[in-house]
Formats: sequence, structure tokens, C-alpha cells
Amino acid sequence: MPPSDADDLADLGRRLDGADPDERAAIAIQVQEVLLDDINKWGNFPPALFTQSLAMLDDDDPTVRSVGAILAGHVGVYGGEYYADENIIDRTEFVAAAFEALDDEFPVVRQAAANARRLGDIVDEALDDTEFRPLPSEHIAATLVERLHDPDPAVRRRIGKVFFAHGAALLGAHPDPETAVETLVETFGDPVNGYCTYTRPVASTRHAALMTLEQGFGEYDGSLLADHAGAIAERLHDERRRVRTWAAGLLDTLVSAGDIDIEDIADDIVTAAQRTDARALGWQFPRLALRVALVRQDAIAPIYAHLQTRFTVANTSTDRWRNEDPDLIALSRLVRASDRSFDPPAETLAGVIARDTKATDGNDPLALLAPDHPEFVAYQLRQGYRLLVEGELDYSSRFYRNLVVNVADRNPATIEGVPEILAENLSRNDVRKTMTALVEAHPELAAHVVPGAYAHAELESPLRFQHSQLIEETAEHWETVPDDLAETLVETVGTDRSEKYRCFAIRALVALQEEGLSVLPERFDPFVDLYNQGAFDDDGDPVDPLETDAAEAAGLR
Amino acid sequence: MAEHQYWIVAELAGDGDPEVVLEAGLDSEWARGGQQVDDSVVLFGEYHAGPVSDLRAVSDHIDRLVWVASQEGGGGGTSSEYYEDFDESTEPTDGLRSTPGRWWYGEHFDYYRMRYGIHAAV
Repeated sequence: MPPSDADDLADLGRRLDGADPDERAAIAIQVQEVLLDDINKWGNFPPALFTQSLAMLDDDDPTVRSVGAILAGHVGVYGGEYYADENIIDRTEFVAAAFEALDDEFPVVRQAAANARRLGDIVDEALDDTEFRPLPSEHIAATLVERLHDPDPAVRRRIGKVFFAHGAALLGAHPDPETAVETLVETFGDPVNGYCTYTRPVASTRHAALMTLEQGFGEYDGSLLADHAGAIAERLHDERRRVRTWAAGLLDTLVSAGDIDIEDIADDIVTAAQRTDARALGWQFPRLALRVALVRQDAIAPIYAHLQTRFTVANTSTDRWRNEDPDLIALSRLVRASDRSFDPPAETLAGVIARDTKATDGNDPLALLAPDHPEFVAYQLRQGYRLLVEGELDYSSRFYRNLVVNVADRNPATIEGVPEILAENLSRNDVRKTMTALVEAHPELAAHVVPGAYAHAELESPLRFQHSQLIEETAEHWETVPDDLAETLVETVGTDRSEKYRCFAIRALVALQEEGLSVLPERFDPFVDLYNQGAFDDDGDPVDPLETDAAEAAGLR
Repeated sequence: MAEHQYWIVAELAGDGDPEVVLEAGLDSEWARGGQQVDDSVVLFGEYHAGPVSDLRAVSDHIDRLVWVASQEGGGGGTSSEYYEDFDESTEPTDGLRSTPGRWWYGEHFDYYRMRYGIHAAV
């Protein structure tokens, strides 16, 4: 929208002063428009607008009050930063006025007052800084707890973010912990989600409340939650992962503290354990699940099934296996504490973890199991690599690249069938890179399947260097080279796409030629000597094939 | 990965089906979620351009629409557009662009709510 004649804030301020009531909303909106059109203006309010913002908060029109809440909040929170002579204003007055707008009868005003950035900074300073007391902490805490139930969803989400950031402090400052806790519990039924990715501008109230109760544990008497165990446990089934995670954490804390009895929430935990997607319930859930299995015979089977999926193919997620895996530790304790017997791989793993809880730090459990349970591990690998080949998994998966190599390092027999599966679809980058890693580490296990993989592959020129590299490394296993592939390699030597493509293509061609396969056109002969002299070796400073005299002889330039 | 984000609030037409709008809005590489809230559908994702054009295909179900994007890089920026009558081809009725800064999304939503009374996503 083009700037109006009066896009200057001072001018708008003067117009607002003299405007009729029915014109004031339009002028207030213009103020907001000007501020969003030129962000620099936030740091340079005309002083008259300071006091005007307070008057705006008393206006009859909700739009004027909304802009008043934004302006007064801004001056109150950031006034010291922007206006060198802070003495010209009393920030506490502005902060107090902006905060009180949270009680406005119009949702749009409360939304503006609940801006999570400004309000968060208000709360932060008011609770932390003993010198700055715009309002009593108790009042701030009580008001915000009440606003968690604002009828307007936009307000609730913004207030949720304030609790997300300052919940424990607010709980600590609340004059009536019992009411605060009850009110937090009542948010669990609020279905409105926080829509956010990285910066988390807002949070759902139930997420914020669970987090507040967990992080603020100690600020209130845990027995206040004794009657709400079921309501918290119900959140183990929430659609949002973070909500489930905080619910599990809070339950674990409450059970540890003796505030709730594990029996009371056992059914919910067993049902939640039916989920097997990785970390769907957070890192504290396994301990909670273990507690149930240790007191209830009929819970052992489902909890065991849940914990087992941590190391089987059911877990396909990226996994760095570090920091003492809570699922495997719970599994280990369950297996050892229980009278019944479990599957041999689980028994073995339980023993390994019992001896060293860090055994899986940096080691995939399937690799640890390879020496003793080759058939079991081979089955898990074949399932996982089948998914990778079919495009169900990608680079971010546990099955990408290293796992098969690490398993083969410990017991080569355990990867039986995996090279053949990878060979089915080398046109996928993640599959090809996995195959390349395996061929490099264990050529004796995988190189022989590579020629077959290229027999029917449809590849375009120029050929990616990893293909050429794989062909070179497996040259001795080739008995014939499809004409299309030889042609593609020859074309790639002359490609203008990348020096690396050219280098690896000529290397693959010469390597095949040296194995007695006639893939190299006669005019390319001079490249053979260069190859044997190491001219194209990756570890040195490879020569660009196009920059050689051989290229001239070959008619490449 | 660049930290872009977008939010869309699509106010449902009188006989608009929220499921249809959600399905169209979530069928995008960058979509990260959405839900019906009162008489609106809220969508969000990790890119600076939201699936506004995809939603035109189901615009029979939508009355008004606001899109706010937070864009990273070069100081960042916040952009938004408001459609009073969202259909297959209309141009936005109003729009804002704030630079630098990718964190003005709240103030953008405030503006559209003050001026047009449309729901805010964040």
C-alpha cells in the first residue's frame, strides 16, 4: 500500500489527537502500517507518541486500544534501549498499562497485548530484576495463568509461548499454587496447537502447561497433582510429540517423588507403548514403561515389545547411539529382572548393557549383536535395506551407509543378502553411496554384485563420479560391459560438467580395459599411460583429462 | 537449511469443508501442519511462500485468506498478503512487507485482525 500523505508518526499522532471518535480507528491502523512499512521507526518514536500511547489505551475504540497496547508495550520494554535519556519516561508506567490490556474485553486488544516477544520480555524483566517492579510479580503470574484460558485461541497460543519460556518462574511467583496447578491441568483439553518450527513464536497451552509443571516441579506441592494422574497420562496419547514427551517426563517425576502411584497410570502407559515410532514419547518414557513392567506381569510382554523396537528394523530413524540409551537400559533391566525368558538377541543385549551402559554409545546395537546372532541381524538388515532401495528411507536413516559396514566389520556373514538388495537400485544416490562404502570397506563381500547391477541400469551421460568410482573399484569382477554403459563413460570423459566426472570416467574406462575388456576406443590409448602414472589419482593433484595431450589425440578438444 | 516459515489462515465459506482445505494446504513439500480452529483453517510450514496457489483450487471452500511469511537471510523479512475474496485468480486486497527482521509475524497478524477482523495464526 502506498504511503499516505501523513506517513509520519508525529503527524499521525497529531491527527489522532484531534480526530472524531469514528475516525480514530483508521488513523491507529495507519500508525501500525507505517511502523511495519519502515521498521526503523520503532527505534525513533516521536516523544509525543509516548504519552499518547497511554491515552490510546483508554480509548473507546478497541482498534485504538490495540495499537496503544503495542506502542506502550514497546516503549515500556525497549524504551531504555532506544531512548538514550531514559529519564524522560517512566518505563514502569508503560509496562503496567500494556500488561493491563490483557484484561481488555475485546480479543483483538488482548491479542496485541499478548505479543509473545514483548510480553515475554516484560515477564522476564519483571520477575528477574528486583529494581524493576512495574507490577507485583504475584499479579503478573495470576493474570497470565488466568489468560491460559482466554476464549480467544490466538491469545491462548501467545500466552502459551510466555509459559513455554517462563513457566517455572511464573508458577513460583503465583500467590496461590493450588489454583495455578488446577488451572494448568485444565489446559490439557485445549486442542489448539502452536504452529511453529524453529523459532517457536507460540505454543499450545497444554504443551506449555505440562512443561511448566515439569520444569517448575519444586515450586509447588507435587501432591496437588495426585488426583490428576489420569489427566496427565491421557496426554501420552496426544497428537503432538512434545506434549507426549512432557507428559511422560512429568509422570516419571511424579512417580519418583511418590506423588502418584504407578498402578494408577499403568493402563495408559501400556497403551502408549503400542507406538513404536522412534522417540515418539521422549527419552523418559522407557523408564516409566519399565516401572509398569516391574509391577505388572501382564505388562511385561507389551513393554518388552515396545523396547525391543529400539534396536530392530522397526527403528529406521537417524541414530547416533549416544549418551547411554534409555530404551536399551530399560530393556536390559526388564530382561534381567523378570523370571521369564526373552528372545536370545535381547538377552545378549541386556547382558552387554548391564556390563556397560555406554556399550551402545557410538555403536549400533545390531553391530554389537552381529557376532552372536548373525541370522537375526541379517534379517533386520535385509528388511532395512529393502526399505532404502524402495525409497522408503533416505540419507537421514539409520540404514544409510555405515550400518552395513559396521556390521560386516564385526561379522561378515551377517550381511548376507544385503549387497544383492543394494544392487537392485544403484540409481538412488543413497543406495549407491551405501554400496560404495561397503565395496570400499569389504570388496570381497560386495564387489561381485556390482557388474550385475549395471547390466540393466539406465544411466544418463555425464555419469556421476560415484558410479565411475564404483565401476573402477570393481573392475576385476566385470566379464562384459554393456555397450550403453561404455558409451556413457566415454561421453563423460569429454563432458564439460565437472572435472571430477571426467577424471573418474577415464579411470573406470582404463581399469576395465586393463581387465581385458575392450571399452576404450583406440584413439583413447594415450590415456592408459597417464592412468598408470597416477595422473588421475584422487589423492594427489589429479590432472584434468581434458587438459592433456591425450585429449587432443582422442578428439575431445 | 534456511529458516523460513509461513502461516496461512483460511476463513471457511459458509458451507466450506475444513477437511478439503486442510488436504489441499498440507499437500506440499514444506507443509508442517495445520488444523481447524473455529471457522478457520490454519496452516504452517517451513518455507517463505505458502501454498496459496494450491488453495485456489479449493477456493470455493474459502471466504477470506491471510498469508504471513517469515524469511531468513540478508537481515530477514516479514511479508504478508490478505485476500478479501479468495478465489481462483484474485489479487491480494492488502499486503505488508517489513525489513529487516523475520519476527514481525505477530504484528502483521495484529494488523489484519484490527483492520479486517481475521483470525491470527501466531
